[in-house]
Amino acid sequence: MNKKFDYFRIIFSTILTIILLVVEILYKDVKIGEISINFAIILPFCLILYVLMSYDLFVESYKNIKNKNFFNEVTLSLIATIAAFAIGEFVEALAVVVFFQIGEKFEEYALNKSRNSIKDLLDLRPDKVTILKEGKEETIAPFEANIGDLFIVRPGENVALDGVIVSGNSFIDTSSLTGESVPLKVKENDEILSGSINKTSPLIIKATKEFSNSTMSRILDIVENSQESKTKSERFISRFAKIYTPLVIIAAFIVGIIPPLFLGMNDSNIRMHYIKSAASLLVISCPCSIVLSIPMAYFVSLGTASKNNVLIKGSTYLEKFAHIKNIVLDKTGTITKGNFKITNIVAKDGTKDEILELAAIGEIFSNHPIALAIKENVDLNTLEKGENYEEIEGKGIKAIYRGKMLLVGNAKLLESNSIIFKKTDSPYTIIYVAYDNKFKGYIIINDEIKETSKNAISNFYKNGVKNILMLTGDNEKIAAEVAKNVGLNSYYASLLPLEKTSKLEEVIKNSKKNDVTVFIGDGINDAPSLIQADLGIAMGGIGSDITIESSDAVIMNDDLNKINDAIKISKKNNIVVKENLIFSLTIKFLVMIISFLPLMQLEAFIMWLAIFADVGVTIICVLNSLRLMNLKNKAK
Amino acid sequence: MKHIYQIQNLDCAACALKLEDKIKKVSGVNNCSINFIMQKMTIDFSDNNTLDEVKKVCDKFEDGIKITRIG
Repeated sequence: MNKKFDYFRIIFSTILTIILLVVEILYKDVKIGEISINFAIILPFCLILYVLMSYDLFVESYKNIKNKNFFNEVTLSLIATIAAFAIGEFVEALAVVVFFQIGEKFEEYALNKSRNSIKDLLDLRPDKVTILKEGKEETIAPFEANIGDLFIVRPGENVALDGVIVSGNSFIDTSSLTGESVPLKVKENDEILSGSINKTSPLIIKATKEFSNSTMSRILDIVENSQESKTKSERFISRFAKIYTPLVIIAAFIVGIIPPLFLGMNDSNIRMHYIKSAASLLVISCPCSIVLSIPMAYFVSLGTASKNNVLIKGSTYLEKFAHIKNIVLDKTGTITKGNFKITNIVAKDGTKDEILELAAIGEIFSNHPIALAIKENVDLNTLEKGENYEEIEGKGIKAIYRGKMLLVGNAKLLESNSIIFKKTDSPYTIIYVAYDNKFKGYIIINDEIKETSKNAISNFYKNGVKNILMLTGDNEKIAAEVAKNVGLNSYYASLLPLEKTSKLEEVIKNSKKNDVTVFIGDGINDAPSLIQADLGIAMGGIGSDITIESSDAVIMNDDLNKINDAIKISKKNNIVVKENLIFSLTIKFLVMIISFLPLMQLEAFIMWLAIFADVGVTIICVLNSLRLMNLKNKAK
Repeated sequence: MKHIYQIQNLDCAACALKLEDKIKKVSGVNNCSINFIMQKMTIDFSDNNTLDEVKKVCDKFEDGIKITRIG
């Protein structure tokens, strides 16, 4: 239908309906000749407008009936209007179709608005990809591309599939994946994830994953397809929607037949009253307000959360954020940055550079974060390697360098090799270096605490969290130092990975039934804990399969405070869902009750109340759900 | 196999629930979820004949429903 005409007929009919209503109220008893004004003026106008407003509804209803779909909202509303006409309530009959159309238009508007903003929030799903086939460019849909295909991504375009760069250098924007706003430099042979945006120059990429398994598709899947894990309210809605319409129809039949039987079948006033009541019930036969607004609330909240860099796997987990009572969190990579840095080198024999070089020679084959911190400060290309490398579990590395013994490790390593040295007392990691049976000095390595951690932890308490427990494999001193710095008073240090899981188990066992226990970790080593907790939150690492599979939510950047944002969003969401449920059900229930009662005084209002319960309530609930979209500004 | 479709001209949220139920009942469909707000249907099915059947169900369900594969 022509849009302009559609708006015109709605506005035109609304105005005339109001005028007709006023005329009906003011000049009810006026007669034109022998005929009452109701029949002489109101009826013809109403009929014309009714046809104008409802012809498309009749077509739709006819199609529905042809498809054996008898109990649909359109057909039922039309039956209600016909009943209203039959008992002489012309303006009401007209009003039902006018408001029905207004409601449809409004729903459409609200839906489009929320669809667009959610698309802005989330939809980085590219709709095409330019692949190179035998030197020729060809544009296809991303799902048609195969592993091994070469594709070209020009500046400003999204990377559609995960892959490896075959040629080109560029800067890419990974903010939708990592929350990191500083562009990342990439070159040949670098891996690149879908969802990144190419900034500066064209890249040719070889696809290593199909579209459906690429990172961005999987992220969108998580957010969009929360269907598999429905919350209590959502399950309630599905069940409710199934029984609601039949229930209302049965109620309408009962109201139309039973009360008049008892109150006097011969009294035409009573008969009319209950026909009108039954018609009103048919008007509220659509469970739209709930069925639309509640999934919308969850959906908007999930979108808002992901805009805030918190990716939540569906509405059940979103709901849980509001009830977080216990937080168990890993130290390294969660509270601290997880990147170790040399803070000091103390030389007892020789220069600082010599000690650093010896340490790097010792650690040359190691990929431990501490080894990486040491090697970061040395030019590895000019470094001379030793021989007979031996890794001594829990102590360090022993090797032969230029024919003499080199030891790089903790105090135990030096002690067991009878080196004379003075042990240093420090809360940080100390790497001792000994060469040729002489103590050379030590390197202090520290894992920095994230700037946001302290603030995040005090906000956790403000948001109703009762207990926060830090777990770490590091020693007591480091644990105490970090705990003190971020304002935590309970922690367990020197834990083996398995012991972390059992500590978490203890917390879960001791918590109350509806209290949510969260585990927060970096997602790489703590998959078992992430799975075990009521709510497993991984920090970063969106590219890793394990993280995506084992966690229930992923913080896409490194900021612990994002969890507080998610808690706020969740609380607000749960309130909106409750408000919509209670409000919709109360109003609809009220209409049902009133329709049963022999309250003749209310007769003039019942149809209007039904129209409000149908269209008005839907509009109010949808607007209420859309409020959740604005949270992102407040959260910041 | 898992496909994602854009699904247009679906009238209301309650209809989406009904259509989802109907598609789930088609033999060969392992799972189906319709996201009414995003106008997306994710469907997990075993062979292409199933897909034809699903399209028939959609056509029959409401006039003018259009489904286009997007992923």
